[in-house]
Amino acid sequence: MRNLLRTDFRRLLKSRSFLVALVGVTSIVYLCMFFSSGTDGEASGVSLCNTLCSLSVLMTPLFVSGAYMLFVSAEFTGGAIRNKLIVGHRRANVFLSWNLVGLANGLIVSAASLGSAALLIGLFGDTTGLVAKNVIAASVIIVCMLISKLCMSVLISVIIPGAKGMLFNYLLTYALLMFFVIMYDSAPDSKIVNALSRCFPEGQVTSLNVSTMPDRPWLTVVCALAFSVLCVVFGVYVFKRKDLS
Amino acid sequence: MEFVLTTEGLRKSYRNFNALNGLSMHVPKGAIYGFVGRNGAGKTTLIRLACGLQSPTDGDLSLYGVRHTDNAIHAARKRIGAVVETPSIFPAMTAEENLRHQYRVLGLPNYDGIKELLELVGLADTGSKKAEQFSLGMRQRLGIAIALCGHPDFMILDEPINGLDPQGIVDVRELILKLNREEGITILISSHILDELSRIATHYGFIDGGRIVREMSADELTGACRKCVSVRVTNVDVLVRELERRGTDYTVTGEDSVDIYAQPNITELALALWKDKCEIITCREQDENLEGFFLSLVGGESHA
Repeated sequence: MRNLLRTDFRRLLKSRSFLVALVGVTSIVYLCMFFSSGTDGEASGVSLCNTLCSLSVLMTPLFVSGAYMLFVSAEFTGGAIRNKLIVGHRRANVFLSWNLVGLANGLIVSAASLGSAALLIGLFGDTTGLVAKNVIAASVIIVCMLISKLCMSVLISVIIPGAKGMLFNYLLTYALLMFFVIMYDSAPDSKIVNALSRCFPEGQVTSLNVSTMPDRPWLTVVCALAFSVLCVVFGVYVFKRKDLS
Repeated sequence: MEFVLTTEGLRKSYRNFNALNGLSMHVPKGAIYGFVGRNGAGKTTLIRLACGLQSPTDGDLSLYGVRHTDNAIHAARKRIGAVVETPSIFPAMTAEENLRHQYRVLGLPNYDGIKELLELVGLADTGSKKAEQFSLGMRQRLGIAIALCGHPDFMILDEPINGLDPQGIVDVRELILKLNREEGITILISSHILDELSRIATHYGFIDGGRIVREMSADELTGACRKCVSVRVTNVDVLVRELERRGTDYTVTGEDSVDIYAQPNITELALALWKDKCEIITCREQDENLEGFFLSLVGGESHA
């Protein structure tokens, strides 16, 4: 397992997909912050942080997971996955390594983009109205959403490797967004919709902000992590039974 | 005899298609095992199962005596290297980077031996050229180099000379012989180029319809490859009738030619044929080669 982690992480740091995600997400975050702050740069820290929240539950997971799917798919398209299995690595370990390296990838990109932007707001922006408890709760939820999105995208990569998997991921994102928007309107009190919205980043788009304390943040964390574990367990099950050519 | 790979009653089904139908094979330690079969006979499927890329539907597969269902199979697999169909490489990496990657996969403590491996397969001067710019032959050789990382003692090569130029074929043949003779590596090699295979294999497994129809050593094959007299005549029907009357084995090889698996008295035969106005045009003695043996085994136009 340690060898796999070392190998995958080394390849990640040298891969184009990682570089594209890092530069792309950071650029978009800073551009959004620039436009949100207005021409005179006097937007409040609260509104800038809320912009960051929206970016972190919609754009960042989608961009990061899409790029990471390319990274995982490269092993299937080039056939390099065979080199791991032929020499005796267990499929469960290979799959777990992809997930762990994917999480590291997500955290690095998020820290470089969202984290640095938040730090700049904290250091140089107007922090009036920012409540530490709210910011911490939102940050924890953002990390959990990133984990759930990445675990799901690795699962999709194994089931549908290559560009088709990426396309499916994007379509799924928009389908989930539509689903939650429609369901919030038509069934705002539905417990099922409420529980589902805590599992996916798309479900947090309209509710996550630092102006107010999120509703039962611990439940969102539990749901997102439980969903992530489910994706990993199901992914290991699927990957173990997958016939590779 | 000690076997590196054995299978008993191995089956693999894909929905309604049975790729392997109770295949049983035995690869002896130290052998170059030539795996011979038509397209779709099940060669690559067997190789995929042996490499752990797929699981058998039924039956047993053992590597170094360890069954595929045992936990120890993962440790046993550390001793093998393989090139399955297309070489497993990262196109965006150079040859050296691909080998370094495989060294890390194997958990080797340092990168010693990479230059030697590249020299061994003739890729030492590729420098910063990415694998995606390599020719098919260069990719094949890079695949072999990757399979050799970690000094395996069993190598599985699926059609390793596909796409190679004549010099490349000679190089790979010499490499295989060197690995087998000098390093004692057991090699399972499948190939359609039977002439090439016959130059290196010490053992053979003939596969047809998802099962092994015959396993034999090269010496046994030499004994089994019958000498024949190849005869061209003006009327092949007359010759066939005469051979049937005599109870002689033969194979019709063309519109006017027949291989006779006996040492007939040519004068007697010519006189017998002349009664029906059939002339012998040419007549020469020849040995049946691996190709002929394979065809007679899996269904050519042989008659008894």
